[in-house]
Amino acid sequence: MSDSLVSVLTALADDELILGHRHSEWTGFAPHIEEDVAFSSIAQDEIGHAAAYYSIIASVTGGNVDRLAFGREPSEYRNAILCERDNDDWAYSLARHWLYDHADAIRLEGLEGTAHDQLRALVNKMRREERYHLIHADAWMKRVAHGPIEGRTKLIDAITNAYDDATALFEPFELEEDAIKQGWVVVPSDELRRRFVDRIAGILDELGIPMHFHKRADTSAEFVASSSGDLIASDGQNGQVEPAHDGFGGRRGRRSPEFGALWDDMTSMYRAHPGASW
Amino acid sequence: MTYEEKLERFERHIDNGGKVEAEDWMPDDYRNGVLKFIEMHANSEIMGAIPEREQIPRAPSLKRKMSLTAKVQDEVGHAQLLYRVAEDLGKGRDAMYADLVNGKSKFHNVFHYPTKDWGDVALIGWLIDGAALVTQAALLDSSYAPYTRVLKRICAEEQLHLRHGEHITLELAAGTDEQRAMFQDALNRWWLAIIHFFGPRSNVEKDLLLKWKVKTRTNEDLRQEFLDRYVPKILELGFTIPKPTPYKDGDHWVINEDDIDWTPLDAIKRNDGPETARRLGLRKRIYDDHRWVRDALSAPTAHVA
Repeated sequence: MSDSLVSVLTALADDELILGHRHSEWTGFAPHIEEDVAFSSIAQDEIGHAAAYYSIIASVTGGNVDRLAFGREPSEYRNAILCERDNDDWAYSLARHWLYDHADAIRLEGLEGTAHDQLRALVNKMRREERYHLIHADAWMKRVAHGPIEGRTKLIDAITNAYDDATALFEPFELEEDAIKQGWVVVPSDELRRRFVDRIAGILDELGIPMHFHKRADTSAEFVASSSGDLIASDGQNGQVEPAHDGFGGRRGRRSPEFGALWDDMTSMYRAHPGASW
Repeated sequence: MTYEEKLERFERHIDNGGKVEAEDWMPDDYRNGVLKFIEMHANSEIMGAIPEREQIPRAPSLKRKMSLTAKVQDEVGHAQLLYRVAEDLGKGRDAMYADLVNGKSKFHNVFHYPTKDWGDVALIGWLIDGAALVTQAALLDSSYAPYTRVLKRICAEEQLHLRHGEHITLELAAGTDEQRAMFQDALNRWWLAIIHFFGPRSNVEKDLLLKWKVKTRTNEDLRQEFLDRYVPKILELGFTIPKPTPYKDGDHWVINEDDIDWTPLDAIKRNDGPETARRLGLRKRIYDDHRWVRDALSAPTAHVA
């Protein structure tokens, strides 16, 4: 019964931890001082949310939050691959921040009715904080989308790069069916993905940003495991099956090449000193 | 009023403990001296973010990962406040930032050195912030009033940083042998740089900033305060202080000035420290590659058809 709960919480926690880690890589180096401060705040919030999710897991399984965060093998992480991508330039980081925080808002809205009391309380608290992330991301999107051409072009490229990966935030959780049956999860991931795609399409349309990349993550696509275990997207029309893009599989422990260096960096000090207190 | 009369009145005002506001008359040497001083302080806050941010990805617990991010964020926030104060003296933030990334201006010596591991985080947070707090607290009574107002806030935050650094150090000191060795190793690598941090003996006759009370205490006086305050604590934790090693003389912990090798500081003054080029290079690359961010910020709110 608690396996599916742990599975869902691990995915949510890992998303927040890994993205928080990436955001914090801008600390001290953001291209603008005010933004440096802002990204650091968002990074702290995300890492704090990860800690809160891990502590629910720990209360169920008897583990320890730092061990959950830093003591696992790469294949045990369940974050969406979007979160682990290198920061690249700030346009990519902004696009990812914007896509992620809209996805997270939709996801948290969907979790408001969860049957798990502790999770429900946490979701309510996080929704208040995430509101500010959205305000920040939306303001920058508008500013850059309506600003000089160079920034606008970079932003469009960045959204194009990040978009498919972002839809994979709604790749179903492991044991999702059971999580729904138990009431931990209320809205299936496929439904949340449809809401996300619609919402992003609506905002991009308002911003006057072309959406040619949309076809690649059609809202009707369903993701199923192939016999080899890879995730594949089925377009559901002529039975043709195409491999899902490389941003998928994170929820089942598939990691991109970027993850290795991140994991090394993030966990080596912790792993080198088992049992140490910091 | 002639220039001489204005200068005389200005100096009398300062001598009587008077303060100077940005819009007041001040001699050019005062304006330029204060500007340069605050600009270097601002540069040091933003460059000072780098050594510590290098260890954020490696922080060994979630709590420390958040608190170190918060701490570095504060330093960047200090830079933002200080650049504003400096701007009012006649040099724009963009110009100051451009001078920094192009190696045309200076920042504190301690931020030219590499970091290795979590021992550096402890050491920087405790001893380097401790050293900075000694110098900054001494500036709270500076004659340039806008600077003192910002310093009040900065010092309050630095007090929290100091506690943060002290906690991390205590964890290492009370930890495993490896953790203790980590701090000792950091102390061995950083000690001379901390001693340099206060600068060589002040030239009281020639230092206009001292004369005009922008600075209120000499370098050697500040270094002495630091030694008296921190040497006993370091020793109490069982760590060994490397050369130049302080010794007890009456009530004070003193360092023989002849034992201080100033060569590394001379190189840093030419922006030629161990990490200077790499860190400035990184900052410059990000600055150059992201002109579009500044352009987006400064553009009038445009409309899309």
